Amino acid sequence: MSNFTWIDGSIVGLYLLVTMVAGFSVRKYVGKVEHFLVAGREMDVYLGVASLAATEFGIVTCMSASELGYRHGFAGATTGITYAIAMFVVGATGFCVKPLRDAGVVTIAELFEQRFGPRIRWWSGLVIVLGGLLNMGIFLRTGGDFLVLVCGLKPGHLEITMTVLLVGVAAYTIVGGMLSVLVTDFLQFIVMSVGMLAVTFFLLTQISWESLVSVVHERHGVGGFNPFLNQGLGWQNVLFNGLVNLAAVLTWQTTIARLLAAKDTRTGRRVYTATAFFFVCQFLIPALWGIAALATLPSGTVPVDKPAMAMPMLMSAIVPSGLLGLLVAGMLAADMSTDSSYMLTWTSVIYNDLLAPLRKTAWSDRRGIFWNRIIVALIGVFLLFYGLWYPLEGGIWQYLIVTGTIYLSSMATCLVACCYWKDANSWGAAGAILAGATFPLAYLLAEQLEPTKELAKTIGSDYAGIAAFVGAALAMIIGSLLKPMFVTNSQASGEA
Amino acid sequence: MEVEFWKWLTVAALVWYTTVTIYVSVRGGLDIKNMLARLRELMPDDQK
Repeated sequence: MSNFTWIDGSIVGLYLLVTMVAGFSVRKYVGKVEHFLVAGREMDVYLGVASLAATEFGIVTCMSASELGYRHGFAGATTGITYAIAMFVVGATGFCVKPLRDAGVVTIAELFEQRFGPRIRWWSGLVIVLGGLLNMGIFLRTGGDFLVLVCGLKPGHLEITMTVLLVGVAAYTIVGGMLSVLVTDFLQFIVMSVGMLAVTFFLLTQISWESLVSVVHERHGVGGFNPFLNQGLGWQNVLFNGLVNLAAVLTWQTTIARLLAAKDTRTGRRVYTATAFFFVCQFLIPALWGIAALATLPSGTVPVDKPAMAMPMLMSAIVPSGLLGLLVAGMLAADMSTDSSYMLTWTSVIYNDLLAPLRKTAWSDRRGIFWNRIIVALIGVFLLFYGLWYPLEGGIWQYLIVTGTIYLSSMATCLVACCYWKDANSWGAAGAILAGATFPLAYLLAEQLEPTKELAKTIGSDYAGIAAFVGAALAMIIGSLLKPMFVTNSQASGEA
Repeated sequence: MEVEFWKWLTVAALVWYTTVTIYVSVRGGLDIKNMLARLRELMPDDQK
């Protein structure tokens, strides 16, 4: 039985009203495609911090981090630490992101065209969209699951909740593009942060720190505090997460969209360094909620195959009315900011890179904005159907990083090579894209097919992910070294 | 030692997050105001 009452409903309703008004109010500033996709490159540091933090934290991130806490104890929050380190180091040194922002491109694939040619740009765009959309495919269902449990809705209302959420987000994204996303992200950052902090302080008054530590000791032993000694994690998980985190900081389109929308390179880098520690909070706070669920809920309450449900079950049971409304508004804020940014981001890649060959002559801004809006709407339709259809196997976070790896492994390899290896060429880039996509896609397929399900379990997503990164790097090196040999040989035989 | 590490990391996360939320709420609002002002200047006169 949930504590959600009309007071909570009113808080949520007020939040939704303010967000919609803010989202629609900036539509008059969208006059060019550049305004729609990168807010005219006018974003400053603090708005960037709010937007990046809100974008990279959705209900799906909250559910996955709390699931990690529930399943692995404090060690489950290690990903937040590796993420923060990666973001701080990249921001402070400007590694890759400086040349990327200096190039003045809209997407990472556009940069690759300058070095590897138009075909690599197109294929890069394809894997970015493929990985990104598969990754985003479970956002709606996870968000719907959370809302249904916390608000005490009937399970049959999941689809309606998902659809209403999506339509609301798509509406202001279609109208205002990146400008709407930035303004609503700012509001959503405030609501989300206040909601998360208030609930965390409340939980810590109800469940002592000693109880949290004690339940982690009891269930996981020393592995609950040390990821290297945790049975479900281990060095391979830490390594895979570290690689994914670094690659995401460098190439994840929703992250670098803030870098590219910044008013200059210095601002973009400051957004990175200032946001870095947020990633510790993003994983640690929900992990605490998961541990609190472990300490509080009677055994047998949480379905064995759905540990992610533990946190929302706890919230609906112990968070009082009023605070529950703030939590739901906060989580809705987190989810809406993520959904809108992700839809816009993949739109920018589809428009800018995949449709580039169709735009032989320059399109007018009016036509460009029209097609961007159509693409946002189509992505919304895809999300709705994929979210309803895809049966999620294993943990949420593992799904997110495996699908992300489809492009993170190859794009990070290509970006590093593009910026710092003068011998890198199109053969290497093509090899990296192929190798980087093959391992995670094969793993996802094997996980779904009955004859290969056990094999996928034996290999594990961590090793499949590490293989993608190693494969992409090797393919880049081998391909780049082979091309001059073949090209020189064929030129020599042509001359003979 | 590990328990102490997580304890102090949790304290640091809560303190940092609370501070940043307040600071970014104020400065981010000013950023929006300035961004929209700059975009307004770039708009054609008939659309302002």
